[in-house]
Amino acid sequence: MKRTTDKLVALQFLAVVLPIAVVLLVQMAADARRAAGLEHSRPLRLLAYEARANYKTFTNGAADAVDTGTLGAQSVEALHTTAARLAELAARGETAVVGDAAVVVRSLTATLSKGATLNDLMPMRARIIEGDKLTKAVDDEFERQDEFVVKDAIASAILQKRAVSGALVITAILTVVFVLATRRRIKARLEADIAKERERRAELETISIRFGVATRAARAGVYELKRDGLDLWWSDTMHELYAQSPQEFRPTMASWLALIHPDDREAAQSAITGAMREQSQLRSQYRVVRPDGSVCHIASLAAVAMDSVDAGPRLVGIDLDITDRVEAEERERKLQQQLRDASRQAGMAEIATNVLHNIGNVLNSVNISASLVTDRVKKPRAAGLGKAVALLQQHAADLGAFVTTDERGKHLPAYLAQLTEHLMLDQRVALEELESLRKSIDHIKEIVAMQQSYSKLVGVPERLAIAALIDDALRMNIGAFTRHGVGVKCDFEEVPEIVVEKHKVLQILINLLRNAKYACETSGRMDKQVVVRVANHAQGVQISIADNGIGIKPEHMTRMFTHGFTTKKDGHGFGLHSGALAARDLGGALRVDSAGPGFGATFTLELPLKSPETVYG
Amino acid sequence: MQPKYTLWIFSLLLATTCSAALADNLYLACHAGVSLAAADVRDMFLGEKQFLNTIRLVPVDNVAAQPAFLEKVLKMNAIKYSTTWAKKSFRDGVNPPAAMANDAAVLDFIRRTPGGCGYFASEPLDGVTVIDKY
Repeated sequence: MKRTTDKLVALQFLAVVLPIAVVLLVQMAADARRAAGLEHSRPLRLLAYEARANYKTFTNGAADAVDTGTLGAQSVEALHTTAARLAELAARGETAVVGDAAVVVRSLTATLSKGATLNDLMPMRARIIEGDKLTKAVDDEFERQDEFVVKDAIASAILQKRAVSGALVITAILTVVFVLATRRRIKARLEADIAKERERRAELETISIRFGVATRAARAGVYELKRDGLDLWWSDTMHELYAQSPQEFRPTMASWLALIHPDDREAAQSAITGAMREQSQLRSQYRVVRPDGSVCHIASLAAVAMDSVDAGPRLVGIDLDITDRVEAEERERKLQQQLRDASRQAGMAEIATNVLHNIGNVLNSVNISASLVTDRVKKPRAAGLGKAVALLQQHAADLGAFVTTDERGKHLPAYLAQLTEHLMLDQRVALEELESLRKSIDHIKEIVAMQQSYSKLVGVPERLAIAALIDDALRMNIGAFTRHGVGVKCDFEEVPEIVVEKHKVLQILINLLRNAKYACETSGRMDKQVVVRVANHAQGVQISIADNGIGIKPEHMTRMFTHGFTTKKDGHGFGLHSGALAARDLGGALRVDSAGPGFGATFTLELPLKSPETVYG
Repeated sequence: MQPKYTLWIFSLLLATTCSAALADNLYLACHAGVSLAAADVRDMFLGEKQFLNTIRLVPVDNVAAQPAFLEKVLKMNAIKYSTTWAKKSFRDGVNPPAAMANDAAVLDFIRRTPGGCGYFASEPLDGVTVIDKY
């Protein structure tokens, strides 16, 4: 807009100057031409005029001679002057005009002299009259030429005047046009500026209102500190924030600090002076003691503004009432503490549940082994041996005859041999069960140790063969499988040994086998079967335990590993949850597949070849 | 005045006097179409009126009728007439009227010359416009 106006002004200037300049140049050229014409014609005309005037003096003298009888000297001199002027005209190249007149006048000068009488004049009358006509013609011709030049000059001047007038008119029209255009544009610009200014003021007013509403709603006060703390301005909301009347309280640095809690006053003052000195941002928090004794928590945010060097730095800031926030934070802190305590207790309960669950699993095996050993011990094989020993003692004197002849004695060796075989069998079974019992107890010990290790986040990974680990898990559950008629089938691929925390894996496998046995048992089908497969996996090995039991409803699939979820009547919803967590700790995963109720389920444990070291520190 | 001119003027005066004595009437006529006012006749013959509208007046003297004309019309004698024309011719460069011998010569001249005017001792024939009769 301003550039367009400047262009218009420049165009206006050119519109005024250019026509005038052109006209002046044309005028100068015309003036020069007229001056040259006048310089040429005017002297000639003067010469012709002088020639004519002198000739008329001469003819008047001649006329006077009619009365006086003689021609006066003045008349003769005038005739000579006429001749001289005509000669001069001829010398200036005007021979064609003055030729005849010069000849006639020259002849008269040759004839007439001072003192000539009327008798001398009368014969010359015709020539004198001819001279009169010729000199008049010469005078007329040069007058005509001069008038032509003058008229041309006048015409040129008139034309020039018209040109000047035209130029002035054009200039005036252009000036008016440009002034109108410029005025319209300037007016439009002014109107636009005014409209913009009004919008800006309205916007400023709106912003001010919004700012006031916002600061009031946010319980925020605005302040401005100038001249190194000597001049302080507070907004209305600032007074409201500090519960001070704007009419009664005059904000100064000292009065402001007096409102701040004594414990926070020094820090607040230090923050303000530091920000002013270093011209840095201010972020401070302090308490304000209101007149009613209530304490308000204030967060002060400010920055130093420098409008000009003369004005000096200004600290412009905002005070926020953060009392609610501080109190909320305090409440939250307490709640978090309570939550932490509750979580700790819940964790402890979970650990206890886990331990109890796992130990419970193992205790089943322990009970079974103990029952088997007890059953074996309770069998009356020792009584039979005692009877045999008693018979042998009764027939100690005739032991040979008794063994060979007595009907009972003949059966005694075979009986002893059979009894020995049974005793050895019992011993072997007892030993096996005792070994199982020992392992179960060892597992219980490991479970306890493992739970202890959870708290320390340390474990003892060891290199082991998966097949052996699965055998241990199966053996711990074989009694239950046998009792409930669940067949077990193993399908192991050749897999590498893995480095893993043994008892975590064992815990997962025992849990999965027990669940599989339960699913088969609950299904009530005759061909209860569990298939344990070991296969290579992309990042390690995978162990799948598939049963043909009751299966899993689709809607339960996503909840299978959720803590507390169980489909068992006496379940706790802890085994699969802890198993999944343990698998994740080992760097693996535990997942489940099922085609639905009645189609069994397959739980797959994926394990890396080496558990992550971070898990074990 | 020179004796030569004195004699010439005297002769002219004598002839005029004689002619005036002889002539009873005097007619002034101009070329056909020239409607000159009678009051302008004197000026025309003394060189004061040379044009009628756009027509150049060409007066001529009739030697035979001149004395009567000078006496009746111009109210001057021949010498005065002559000196007047001498001055007029020198001062204004105007030639005096040409002198014709008689009425016939004047009539012939007037008929041939547009703007021609002259005076007659007898009434002129057709072909001219009689301006006045004295």
